[in-house]
Amino acid sequence: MTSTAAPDVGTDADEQLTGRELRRLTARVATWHARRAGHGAGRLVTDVAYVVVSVVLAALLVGGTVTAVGGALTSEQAWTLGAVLGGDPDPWTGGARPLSPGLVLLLVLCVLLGLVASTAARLGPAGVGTAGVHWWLPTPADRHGLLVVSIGRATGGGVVAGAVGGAAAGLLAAAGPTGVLTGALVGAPAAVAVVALTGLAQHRGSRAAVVVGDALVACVPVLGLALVATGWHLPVPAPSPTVTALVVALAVLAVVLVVVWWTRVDRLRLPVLAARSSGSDRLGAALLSVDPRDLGRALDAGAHPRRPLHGRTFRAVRGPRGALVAADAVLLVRTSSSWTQLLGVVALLVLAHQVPVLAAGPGLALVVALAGMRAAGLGAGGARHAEMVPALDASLPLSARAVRAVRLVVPAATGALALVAGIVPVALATGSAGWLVLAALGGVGCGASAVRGALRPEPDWSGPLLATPMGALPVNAAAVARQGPDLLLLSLLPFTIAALLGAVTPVLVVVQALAAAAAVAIATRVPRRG
Amino acid sequence: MTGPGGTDGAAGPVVVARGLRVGYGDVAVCGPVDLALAPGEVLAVVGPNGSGKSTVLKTVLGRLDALGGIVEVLERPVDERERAFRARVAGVGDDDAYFPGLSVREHLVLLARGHGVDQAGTVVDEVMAMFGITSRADAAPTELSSGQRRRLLLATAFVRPRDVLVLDEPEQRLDPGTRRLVADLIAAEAARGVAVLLATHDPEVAARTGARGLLVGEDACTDVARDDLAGVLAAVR
Repeated sequence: MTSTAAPDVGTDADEQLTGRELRRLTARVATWHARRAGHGAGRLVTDVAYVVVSVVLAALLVGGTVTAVGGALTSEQAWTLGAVLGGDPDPWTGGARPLSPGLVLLLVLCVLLGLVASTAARLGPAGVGTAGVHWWLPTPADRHGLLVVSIGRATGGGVVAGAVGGAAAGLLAAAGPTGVLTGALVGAPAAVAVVALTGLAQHRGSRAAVVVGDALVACVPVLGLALVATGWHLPVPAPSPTVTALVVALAVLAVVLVVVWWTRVDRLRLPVLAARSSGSDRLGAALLSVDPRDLGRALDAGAHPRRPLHGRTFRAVRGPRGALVAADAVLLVRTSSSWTQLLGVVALLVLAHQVPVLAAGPGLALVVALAGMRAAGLGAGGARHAEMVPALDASLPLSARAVRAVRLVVPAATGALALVAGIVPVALATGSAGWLVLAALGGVGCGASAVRGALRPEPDWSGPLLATPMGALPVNAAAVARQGPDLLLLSLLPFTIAALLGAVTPVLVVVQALAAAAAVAIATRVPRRG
Repeated sequence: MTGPGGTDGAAGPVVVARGLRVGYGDVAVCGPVDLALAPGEVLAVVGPNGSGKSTVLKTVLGRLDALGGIVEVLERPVDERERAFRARVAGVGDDDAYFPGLSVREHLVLLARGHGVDQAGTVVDEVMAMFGITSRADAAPTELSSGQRRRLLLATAFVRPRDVLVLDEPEQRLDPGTRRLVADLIAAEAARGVAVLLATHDPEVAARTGARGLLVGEDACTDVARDDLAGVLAAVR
């Protein structure tokens, strides 16, 4: 330092930047640096072309998949190997009636709007990122000019998510071109309206919107189950003046809500903007990385555990293992969104039994795998956090292997409990308790895969890039991202065979137990250094 | 306007708290806060780790909502959304974040330009020289050492106009020489009429700035006379 007094700072009101000017100046400087580093207009054109091609290919791929799944959802009978081979005298092939297309459309649209609400609340929806909070918001620049871009981004995201999700809902309902168009036309304004409503409620904090969105997603399978049980039938609405009026009304509502949001956004206070800024930053970084853990962390950003009213005494805890299990269990108990999602997972499994193609065969195996993965993932919150802060685990007198084994307890429990509860209808329908045993052991395997996924090493970016139609893929980084899902496939292989055969045999139970043990052994293995 | 640490009350207080309750959620972290800070005064908020010093400062800056009571800055209830508040109240905390692709100097120029500072580039260069980070002007902030980043954060308070300066443990991560000079800077700010509210654990910072104190406690917050502040800081734990 050369002086003990700061220079005099004079200001000129005419020189004071507006929010828009400040934002643009920042962008101009960043662009100038990018150009100097060789990321100029040519690079931009290449990137845009790459993104367009990738999006078109992805749309074709997703469209084809969704159409196939939609056709299967409304088919009358599941395919099973047992029925083809005829080995078992009475293989489980499901037995429910298919869901009506209109019901599928309605339920998927509800899920879509719930996801839009909770995602928008987790990410803002209005915000300026952490850098903006630190460098823009302390200036006298108008907040409106700083935040308006995020309103545009969130609204555009709502349009795309609503239109694509609505069209996918139509495809899933196998409702034909009319259903697809109706889904897209209803989905887009409805999603924008939900985003704007979330934005208008942002000043109250995001917690309520996150909980409502999560609860809606979790309740949809329960609602579907109730509607199926009551024999509710809903056709896809045919083009009519009523449908047109609904779409127009939704569009007008969405526009009005966005305008009101736009005029009120400058009322957002710094604490609210600061709280949401890290979520949006994290999502941006996650989208650039191949590591899906970051994406999960970004989307989980609004699901904080509740503050305890009374601290626990942990009297029953004995030793470091008990302490770790207690910490994981308390985290799960205090995170209400995890509980609602667990309930939704179980309801989804039960609802799947009402859909013939998902009640048996490969459909059942797929649903169990997805449900087990999510249920175990919800229990692995402690392990994911520990991966970010290794000092936590290192502070206890346990080997790394023992830590991994202990971290496995809660996810294995959530995975096993969800799968057992969800498979009860199959066990009741077939009169075989073997399904419950398979589900419990499979759930343990799911827990092992969740821990392996949570504690996987950081992506290795040093390897070569593999050119694919979907874009350049860093080979080594992708190999790391594989860890976790690989164990899920291994540990659920015996269950998949049982689902394909439509029957549980003693041999399959033994093999499932061995697969679960192998999954635990692999998940607790500590990778070598270097 | 008063001299460094002056309390002659020639001007009315610019920071006032009466029965202010601060905390997170609905849980207060310390006793009710009562304080009055006039232009040219330095008030050091002191107390053990976790006593709520930073929470008090964040509430005064509008970065946290008050749980109850009154907090006014520049004769108005704290509302950091007001342009006048942001133009006249400067605050430096411990957390930082930066725009990707922008250098150290560009961050500071951006902030100064945002405040409409005349000769923004010149002011920024002088402040950077003062804090000894000129040689790192073109580096990305993330490339700086921990101490250099702290200097950058402190520099943000001096490249912009201010009538109220709020600093959370400005001595953190600084070498002893820089710590002394920061204390002298704070004293100079007070001498030109800026009201300075800071949290500190450092008796030397408290002494060189001529600060009086506010001891933050679990049940109550008590005033500490300037002469007693060093002793209180030494006893705090």
